[in-house]
Amino acid sequence: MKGNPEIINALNAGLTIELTAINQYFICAKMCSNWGLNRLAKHFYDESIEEMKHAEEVIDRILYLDGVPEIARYDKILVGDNPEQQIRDSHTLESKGVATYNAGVKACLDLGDSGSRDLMERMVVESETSIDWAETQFDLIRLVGIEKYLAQQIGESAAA
Amino acid sequence: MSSAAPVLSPSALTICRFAPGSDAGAWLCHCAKVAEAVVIDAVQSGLASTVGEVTALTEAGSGCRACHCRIQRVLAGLPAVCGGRFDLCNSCGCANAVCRCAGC
Repeated sequence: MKGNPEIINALNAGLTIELTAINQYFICAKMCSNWGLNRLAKHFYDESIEEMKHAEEVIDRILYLDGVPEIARYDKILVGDNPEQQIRDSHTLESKGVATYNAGVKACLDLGDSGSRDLMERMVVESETSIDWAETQFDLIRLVGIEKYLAQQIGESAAA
Repeated sequence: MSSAAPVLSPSALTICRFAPGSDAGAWLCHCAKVAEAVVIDAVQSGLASTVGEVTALTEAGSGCRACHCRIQRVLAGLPAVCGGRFDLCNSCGCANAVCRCAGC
């Protein structure tokens, strides 16, 4: 099925953010694991895998519309050198995702592509859930302090 | 032919609401990191008049093929991107629909 070029561009704009997020969350997971913050590492790892599933859905949709996925295009991958900065960077990237997919939903409404709209609306909700998580962490850090917050993120090692 | 690296505008770093922004919109070919200016040079020099010739000369288009449509636009004498809502800003990398850089 031949899709509208603007919808394919919108999906590709979202795909760029998904591909960036896969890598960004993955390196955060590995760094947190290296620091012994196993609970936070697991969160970032799960987010990375989730972003991969999102990328899969977006790629499938682009191919269905006879578009070409922009598989090599990335945003800047932000590698924070401490856990709080990593959470801030993920908040920034997810916020960009919400804005981009919301604009995509509007384009889908304008151009009458309900299937792509459904997909992008779900991506908005997924990104908003990640933003909510990050903002909760900011609240926790403010309430209990970074040391106590990080103590809670040690958790159990993956090997345990 | 070298791929002149696009420079991310310092102003984009401070203006972009999703700072620090990126150069995602600055490359014509992201796989081989080839800028639009390099493809334009290849076409205007008369050495390339097809996508295959541009690829042979500059390496643009040698990877995922997503940029072939942009190469075809340059071959037709047009800008690589059409300037729609979901082309990425050359300065900050955001989709034009959400970009708030000056001039977008």
